[in-house]
Amino acid sequence: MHACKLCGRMVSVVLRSNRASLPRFNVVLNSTSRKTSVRYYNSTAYTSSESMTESGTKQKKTSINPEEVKKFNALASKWWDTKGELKGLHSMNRLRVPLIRDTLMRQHRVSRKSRPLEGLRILDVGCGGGILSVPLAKLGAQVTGLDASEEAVKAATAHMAHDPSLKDTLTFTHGTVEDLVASEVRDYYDALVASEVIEHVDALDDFVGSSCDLVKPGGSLFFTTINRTNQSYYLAVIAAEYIVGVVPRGTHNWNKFVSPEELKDELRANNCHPRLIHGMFYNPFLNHWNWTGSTEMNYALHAIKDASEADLKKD
Amino acid sequence: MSALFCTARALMRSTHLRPGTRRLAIRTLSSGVGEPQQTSAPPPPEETWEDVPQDFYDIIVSGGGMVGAAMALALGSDPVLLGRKILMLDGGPRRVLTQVPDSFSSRVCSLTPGTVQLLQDIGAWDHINKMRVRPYKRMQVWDACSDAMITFDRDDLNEDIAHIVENDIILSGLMQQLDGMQGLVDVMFDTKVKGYKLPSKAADGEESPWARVILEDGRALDTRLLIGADGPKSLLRQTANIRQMSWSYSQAGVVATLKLSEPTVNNVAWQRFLPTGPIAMLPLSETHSNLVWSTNAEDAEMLLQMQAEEFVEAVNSAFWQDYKREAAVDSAVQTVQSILSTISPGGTSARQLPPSVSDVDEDSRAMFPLGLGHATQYVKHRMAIIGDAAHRVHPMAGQGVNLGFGDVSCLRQVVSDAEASGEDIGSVDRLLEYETKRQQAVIPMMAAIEGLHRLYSSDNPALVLLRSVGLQFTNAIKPLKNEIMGFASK
Repeated sequence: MHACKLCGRMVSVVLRSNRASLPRFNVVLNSTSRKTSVRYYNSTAYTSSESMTESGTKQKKTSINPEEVKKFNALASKWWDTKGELKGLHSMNRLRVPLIRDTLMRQHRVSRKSRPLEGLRILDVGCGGGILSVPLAKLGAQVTGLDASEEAVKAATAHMAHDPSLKDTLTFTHGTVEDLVASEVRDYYDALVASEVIEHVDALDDFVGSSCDLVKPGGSLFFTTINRTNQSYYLAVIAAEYIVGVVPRGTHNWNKFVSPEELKDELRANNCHPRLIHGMFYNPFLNHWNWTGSTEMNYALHAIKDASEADLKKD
Repeated sequence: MSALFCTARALMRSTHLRPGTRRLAIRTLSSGVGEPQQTSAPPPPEETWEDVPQDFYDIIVSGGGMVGAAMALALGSDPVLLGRKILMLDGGPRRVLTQVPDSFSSRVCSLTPGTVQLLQDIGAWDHINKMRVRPYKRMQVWDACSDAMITFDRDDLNEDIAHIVENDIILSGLMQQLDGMQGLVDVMFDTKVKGYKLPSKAADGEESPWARVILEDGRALDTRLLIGADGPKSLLRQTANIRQMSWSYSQAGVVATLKLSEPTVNNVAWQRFLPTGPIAMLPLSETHSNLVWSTNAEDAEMLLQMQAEEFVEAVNSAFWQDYKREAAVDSAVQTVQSILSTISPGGTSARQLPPSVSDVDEDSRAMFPLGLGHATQYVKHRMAIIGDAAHRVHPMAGQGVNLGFGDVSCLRQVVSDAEASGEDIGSVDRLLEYETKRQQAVIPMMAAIEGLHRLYSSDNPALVLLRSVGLQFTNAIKPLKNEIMGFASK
């Protein structure tokens, strides 16, 4: 039994792992005083979609949906208004930056407190205006922000241009994970972050597959997304977009929400092992995110790509 | 009441020196109680953003006094901020004592345990302690208009409640520690600031460029976070158009270094509330004590002009003389006393008299105006004010500089947390945490001190009765006294 460092509740096991040879990482994070339970869901089947072209050969569908991209193009100028439409993403940094920072510090045995992520390469997929990329770069990491929306990339680049400390550590690229894989990038990043992204992609299997390809063996993948439940329909779509109005209308399509089981299955299929899953909850009135035991709404997931046999022998 | 204001105005206008006195900076504060003072900002400098070449710092602390130096040290010694460029600048020369002077300076502070802890954490306390400090174990406060009194101490005098340290020594200790922080904290002395330029957070949320400090010599320095530790008339506060609630008391504080008639253990601080204002004697050594006498402006002037013997006589009688008493008040106080001694026989201690004074050190007498000031905002985008720039109180409770050091601790923590999460340290969203936390500490303290000031400024028998009985009860209730000491020790 140990106390969950995020929400404080005593838990006996967080996730099963059948790779005993992988080192167990205890995630050391700033804990809140909330006491809630971590529940484990039954897995549901998820079929990957493949499309057949007219010539009959199988073609991997790109996971990016052009409609979704257009939606975010329109938001370009709103990215950095911390009290504006995207304030929920800014306030989410209070949870996701310490999660990524502390997990990577632990993983790489970093003890210094200043620029702790120095020397690590991180890919921020679906970076938008750079809301998450900038803090990670400020913590010392070599960050590449990737987004399918050209406007967003332009907005991000313009925003960080005036800060002299970021020019060597932060770059933004227009493209998709499939593009990167297609350009022969493999086993390159120490960490890949896809925060509030996978609920917007069409083909989860392709996206997760490409993401895992890009990460070094032994590297980390971080996802934050919204679960597909009744609760999330009423709260994350109806209430958030139409009633309270903290998310621009039409941002989310409930059918594309991803349950933790689906995500975990996809990861395992790509030799990546989930190490941590934890619920998150947003209070729209205070614009404040909390860690919570329930993954019914938002959740964060950390997975580690299998180290190859060669790497294991090296240790 | 208007007569008091007139004297205040008269005090403020008279600036010529008289023989035998040394006058500290007398600032002309505008009169008027309760009106928010809108001091106009100086005209903005002519240069545009692009004109002048700039140096870039992550944090600039403007003001190298006790609080500014402590802020620079606290930031420079924080492991999270290692590698950030930090600058402290001051318009005056660097002031370090090469050796501790034989005579005492008459400007001293009472440092609370919380402040001592901060100074230890930033590495300055060792330097200060090696020079000269005077811990004291008890404080006795009593009324001239009645027999009521209260004493504060800890654990039957086993522990110190606070330290008396001369301002010069505190500053010197901080400077010595800063000398050892080459490469971590840059320091510029004799660097006068011509003006500041603060960015406005643009409506569309686009983060605007940096805060800028424009120096007299024409250089411009850009920074993510500009911290103003530039005193009660803070130029940064004025530039930021932060309204300040302030009024001047019709009192002035007279300070001096007193020589005691005979050497004594001298580990007690004494304060007596006279009808004209409190007089306090703070221990400096076995033979000397510091005087802080808040009184009305005319008396203060007279005290400064008096010959030494007259002055000593005045001090002694202020502490020892029996003032006019109301019979009703006296009998009430006696009754309460007998009740209390019945309920808690050991709970009330006997009133002691402070040591008598035989001489006053030459050229140690000085006076400074007293007032209250509180900025309505402590932070704006890319700027924060600390110390006297944000708040100014009556010296009667010895809290002024301790509130400033409290600001230092809090702001350091907030900046450190922001940096550790990769945030913009100048973002007002995060800086507001500092403002909220500090206002929660400062405002109650200011209210309490102001309340005490008003309560003890009168010799109205009803008020005297109220405060005397109140004081007696407070003295008898140990948990309440401990609460008060805790409140005043942060």
